[in-house]
Amino acid sequence: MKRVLALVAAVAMVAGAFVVRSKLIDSTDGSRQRRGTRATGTSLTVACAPELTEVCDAARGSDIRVLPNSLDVDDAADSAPSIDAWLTYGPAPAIVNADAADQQKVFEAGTVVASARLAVVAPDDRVAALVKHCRAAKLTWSCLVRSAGLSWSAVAPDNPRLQGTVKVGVGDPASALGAILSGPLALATATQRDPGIDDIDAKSVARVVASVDQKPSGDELTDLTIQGPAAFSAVVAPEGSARRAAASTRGQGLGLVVIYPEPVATTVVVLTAPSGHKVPQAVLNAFDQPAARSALASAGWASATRGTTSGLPAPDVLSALRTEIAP
Amino acid sequence: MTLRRLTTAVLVALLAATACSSTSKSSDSAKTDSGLGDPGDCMTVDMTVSPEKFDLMTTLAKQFNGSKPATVDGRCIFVRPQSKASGTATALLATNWDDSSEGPRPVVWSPASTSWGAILNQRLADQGKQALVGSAKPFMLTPLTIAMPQPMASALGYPDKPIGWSDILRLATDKRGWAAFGHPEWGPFRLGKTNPNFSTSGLSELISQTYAAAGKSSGLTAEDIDNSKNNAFAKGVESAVVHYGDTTLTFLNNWFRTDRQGTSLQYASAVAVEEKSVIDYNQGNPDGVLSPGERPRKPRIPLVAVYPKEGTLFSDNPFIVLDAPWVDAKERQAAAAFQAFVQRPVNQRKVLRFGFRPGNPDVAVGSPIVTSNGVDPKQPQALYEVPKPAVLVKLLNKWQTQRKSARVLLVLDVSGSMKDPADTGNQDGPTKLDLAKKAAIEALDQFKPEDAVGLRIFTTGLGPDQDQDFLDLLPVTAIGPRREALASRIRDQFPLNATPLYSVIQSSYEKVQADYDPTRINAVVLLTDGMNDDGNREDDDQQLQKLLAALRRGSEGEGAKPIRIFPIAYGRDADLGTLRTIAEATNSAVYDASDPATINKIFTAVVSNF
Repeated sequence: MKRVLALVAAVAMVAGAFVVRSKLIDSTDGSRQRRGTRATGTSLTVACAPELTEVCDAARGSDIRVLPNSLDVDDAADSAPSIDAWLTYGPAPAIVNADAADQQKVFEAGTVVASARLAVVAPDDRVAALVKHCRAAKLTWSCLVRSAGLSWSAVAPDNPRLQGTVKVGVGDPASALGAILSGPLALATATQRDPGIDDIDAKSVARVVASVDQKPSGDELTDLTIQGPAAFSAVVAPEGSARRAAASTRGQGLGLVVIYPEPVATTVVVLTAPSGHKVPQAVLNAFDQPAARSALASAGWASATRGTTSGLPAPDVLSALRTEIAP
Repeated sequence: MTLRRLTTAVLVALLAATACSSTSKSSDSAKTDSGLGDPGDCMTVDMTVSPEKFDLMTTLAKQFNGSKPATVDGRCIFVRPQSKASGTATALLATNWDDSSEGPRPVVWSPASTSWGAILNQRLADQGKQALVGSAKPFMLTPLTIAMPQPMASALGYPDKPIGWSDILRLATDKRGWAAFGHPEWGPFRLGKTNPNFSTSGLSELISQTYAAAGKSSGLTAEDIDNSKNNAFAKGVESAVVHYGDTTLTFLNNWFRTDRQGTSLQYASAVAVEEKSVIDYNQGNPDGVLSPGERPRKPRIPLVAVYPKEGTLFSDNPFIVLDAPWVDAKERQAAAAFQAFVQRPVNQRKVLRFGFRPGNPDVAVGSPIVTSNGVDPKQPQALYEVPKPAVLVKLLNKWQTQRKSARVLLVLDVSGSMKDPADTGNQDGPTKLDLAKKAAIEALDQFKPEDAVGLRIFTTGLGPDQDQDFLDLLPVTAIGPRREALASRIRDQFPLNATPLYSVIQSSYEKVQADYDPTRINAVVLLTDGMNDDGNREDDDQQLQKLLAALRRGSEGEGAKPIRIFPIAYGRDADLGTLRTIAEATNSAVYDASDPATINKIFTAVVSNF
């Protein structure tokens, strides 16, 4: 009798588990269908920051659908209902939340998948000239801010070979990455320890941004390595890309060096989900595969499961800064 | 002329333009016969590339097609390049690309410079259409330089003393010319630059000189272009121009030919060309193409590439996958596969052979980009930014008013053979004269109102006593108020008698020389479909030698009054060889319209010299 009862109980538990699972799946699918995400019966929709599309392509699979167009902070709130996850940079979800009407939470903080220090890559003769001009022991964020846009004949009057102006590449400030890369420069102008937007000299940061027009290629490091210091005097970039540029054949020929000015700034790449949702495990798994890790490394990021953004203004300040410095 | 009309004229000119000067071995016109074979069932990726990289891209396509990387989702990819001048492709993409006449619309477009992509997007925006060009990586690069004969660059103190656009302005406007630098025998400072509506070098030069005038290196604005001081700067530089044209090869070939004669220093003092052209020239191959059996001969006086101290621009040959409705996702993937292939170091090293700098940072810049070829791989040290698209278009429109004015005598052959059908297979179709008249009339729109244009027709038996070889129908005066009258007189012409070619060229040359205006480009544009036929063949050689001697005398020496003769060899019976000799005697170029159907494009190309 006991055996029969045990069997009945086991069957009941299994059946119950199926019912619960079925309800859960219905619930999940229902909510996704309401967000209109399901292109096929089983795929999950992932959007990517513009500079990270190759990472997403590497993570693409039968269950992972990557949106064909990249997604940056300006369009992220509108796209949130139709995606399951967004691969972007640490402060980006918070920037979107800060930008949203009534500062509604649009995205969760996300799960860290990679991190990097922010570096400056520049030809050694330009670094030497800047350090001398700024009367510093080594290159600082502040020195870059003060020198950007100046004529090289003013910065290094004793070196006539340095021509043109001091051009510092930080990317498009309207993008999340551009805002992040200009972050340490902004912090260098701050008059307070935890600065608000009013404590930052946004005009000086804007001058850095304006020291060079946005390149159609959108790839400052490539332009620096193949066009030389005429294109950029210095470029702020995630350390992996900075190191790779310096190590390239042309980078070595130019004498490119990688510098981490104090205070060292770091940021992370995250997978985030719309507010109230978790990043599906299948998505996390896809970005943990070797192909995606390799693509992250190619984009200048080291795989990581932990890490944080540091050496940058707070996300809401970055958001405000973005508005102030956009050309 | 209103801005809209100017813009339209520029667009029409761009559309009609192809490099047709017979000084060029590499035609800018659509070229697809590349021996690539049949794509079969493969996915075809059509490419439109600027002429200087057509051969290289075709070689790479041949290697790619059929290779392992040439697949998308298991289907083979077949890359098919065609050659089109950047300006022409820009105009076609901005209007209606007719596949039947222009070849297939491209999935990938690689103009010589990113600037063309910006201009295209602006042209489309002006029509309320979406941009076709997004971000793109460079395939290979070459900077714009100011090429100068080595002794002239040395006289200016280069390379110890940097030279820039401000120095060019000073030289251009100094009435003492080279005498100011102890070389009166070199005459005035003479600058060569191409028409920015047609040529990437010309466009880059225009952007650079405008930035230099504004004292900026980025952020050029419409206000900068309208600024009167900047306008004066531009006009000052333009005042030294020898002539314009659709290709820098005209200058390089003439420089090379005059170098053989020892007169290159008097032909031009400086020409805005790409670095790779300086390398080609100094290696004895001024047009960059070695024909079978051709042996390069180094010039007696090499050129030096001056990298302007204020800044310059790279021709960056972007690899653009068009954001066009006719490009689908699979084609984009296929294009990306080919892009990855051309970026491989082994393939990027090939661009060096053509004198370009590789677009892959992992490929070093090396020979032939070395100082012994007159170039400096460590230069340029300063770059200008490509202006915003709307600013670029404004710049082109403004240039129409800044460029050096012209004095041109149009000399039109109305001999009996011009009544022959333009298409021998269509006896009822338009005659050669019909097409020539239409082309000449359309080309009139390219002249600015201040240009002085006159009209002469020639054949035997003209005039009241039927004893004249030519008639001057309109004097060489400002075309502004007379554009329609000029068109009307051209329209009225009909074919008559024989072709007294030599005597008419001689008298036309003398007529323009008599009223020579050093502030203008003085030229004769002569269209003829035949060879000299004045009823007496016995003295033809003597006539020609006398003519050539007179032309050379006028074109050489310190006090030369250069009158450029631009002959158009029209139809198969035209004496192209003799016309080339005549053009070369005046350091200009002959234009080959042996196929009458091309006369429209040819006329446009000829008038691009002004």
